Amino acid sequence: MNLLKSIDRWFFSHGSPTALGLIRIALGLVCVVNLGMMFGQWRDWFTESGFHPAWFADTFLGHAEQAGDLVFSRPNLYGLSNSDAWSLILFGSTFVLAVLLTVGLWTKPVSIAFAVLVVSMHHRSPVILHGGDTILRCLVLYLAMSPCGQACSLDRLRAIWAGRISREPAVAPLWSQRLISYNVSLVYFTTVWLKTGGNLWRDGLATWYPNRLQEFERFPLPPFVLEVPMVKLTTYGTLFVEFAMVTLVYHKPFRKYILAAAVLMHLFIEYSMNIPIFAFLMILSYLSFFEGSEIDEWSKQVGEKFAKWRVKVPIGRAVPQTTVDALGAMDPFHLVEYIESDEEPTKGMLRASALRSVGAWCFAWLPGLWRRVNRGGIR
Amino acid sequence: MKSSNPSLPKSSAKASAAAEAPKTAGWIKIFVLFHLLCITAWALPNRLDSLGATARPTGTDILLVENQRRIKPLLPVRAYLFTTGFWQYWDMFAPNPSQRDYFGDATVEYANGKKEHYQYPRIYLLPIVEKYPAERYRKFYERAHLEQNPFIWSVFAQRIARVMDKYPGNPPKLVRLRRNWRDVAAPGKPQVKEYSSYEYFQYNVRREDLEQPK
Repeated sequence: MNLLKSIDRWFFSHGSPTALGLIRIALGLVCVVNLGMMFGQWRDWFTESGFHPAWFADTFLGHAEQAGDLVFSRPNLYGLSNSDAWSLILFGSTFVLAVLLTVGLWTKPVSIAFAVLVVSMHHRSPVILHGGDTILRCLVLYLAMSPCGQACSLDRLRAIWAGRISREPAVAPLWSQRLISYNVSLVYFTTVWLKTGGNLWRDGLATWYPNRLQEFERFPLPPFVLEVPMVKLTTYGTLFVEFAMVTLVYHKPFRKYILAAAVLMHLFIEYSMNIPIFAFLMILSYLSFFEGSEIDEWSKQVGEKFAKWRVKVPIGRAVPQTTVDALGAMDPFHLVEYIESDEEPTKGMLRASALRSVGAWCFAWLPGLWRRVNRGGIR
Repeated sequence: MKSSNPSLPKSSAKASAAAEAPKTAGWIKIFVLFHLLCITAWALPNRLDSLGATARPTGTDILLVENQRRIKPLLPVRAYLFTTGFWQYWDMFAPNPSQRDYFGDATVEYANGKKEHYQYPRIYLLPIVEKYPAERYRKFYERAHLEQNPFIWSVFAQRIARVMDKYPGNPPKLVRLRRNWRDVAAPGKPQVKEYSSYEYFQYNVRREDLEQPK
């Protein structure tokens, strides 16, 4: 009973959604890059004249599920029309929504619309999907169910600015974040299970092969990495890390070591093999293993370490408190101190405060905007 | 009253905190449980094919076989996973990593008898900056050439014919698809450098294949 209660408490607790906000930003950026890379190949994969016409999907994935008259089809907005123009509109919209998701503007409707478009894209052209696409799709769906716009977003800044919410971190349900952690563990659990059935993994020789496949070659590796002793180490090391990502990672004292080992494993694969975006997606998903409050605390500690970089910026007495709060919310490391004064901030002060206000990076570079924001000139 | 109030007895502080903690609606809990069951059942490895029709499963294979026979075919599971997009299966480098390099190419024959070689994007030959975005071509070919996916072959050949239709009055007439492969040898054995080739499909190009589909 106690175990069930603990699981229930863990899954359905409420807390800071900062981790979800960071996952949203990182995932949005990966999606922007991924869609950017695919844009040059759009005709090949998303038009009827390419390598992958729409009808492949049903043959490859199987037909829709049916129960009597009820048909459960795979949602696919691309199926509404086979024209190139429609496909391009959907592809372009997906890109725009990825940008909006990254900055956290209109996050709830944007994340839902983005999920629908990503799922549609995957249902339109399943033959080109790799593991990275599948984890991307799952993460996008989890974000659409989550309160990820309540942290690290323009939505939150606008709400603080307007005085609708306080600067204190929000308290939100975290079950969607737990589902991400669970799904990440499921990825490792099922692959480890499958690998135990593979003779090469059992013999410690599995990593001998992928690094010798020419079609996966990326950056060069030192020769000793390709030799048998190192192959044994990386083969059994992979199995250990993957199994630990299902078990030990949930034990807090081990968590950071297991996650660090998993990050190293994925960075090694990212460096040596041409497997796009997968490593970045797995690594960003590890944020779900941290509580939002831990990340909030960590950012304060980092700010303390870099206290010598703190700057003071005068802010007019007429500037409302909500503006000051919003400016503070853009500065997670607390490196900018706003002082009530009639003095005008210098260009240097503004540049310094913009650089330190990580939350403002997505718009502070627009000419004149940061000065106006600092003077409370935008309502 | 806040639970951190020192004047409050510990037990009532706990009770107070529990009362203040937001509750999760029952339907959300049921949904989460259903979701976990669906994705777990779907992601578990399939064993029926590897066991064969007559072999009796033992150990954990019993669980996998029962899951494959009884849970995966359930309509609510399938309908939920496919309508939401949560379908997933994880087999990266499993059960064994691939030990074979593949790439595809084709020979295109024109109306006047001229033959030209078509090289489908091959990652190994690309400059480092082009490899990353081009990986989708490799992934597509990994499935496109397989004997269990012959439905892809004609479309693949048609696309090649359109790309190679560059001489006015001399259209492509025949496309021969070829797969090339090379196995990575085990430790201690000499690595083969040459690729083996096999022409797996011939496609007679029709006039309408060369027009852009509407």
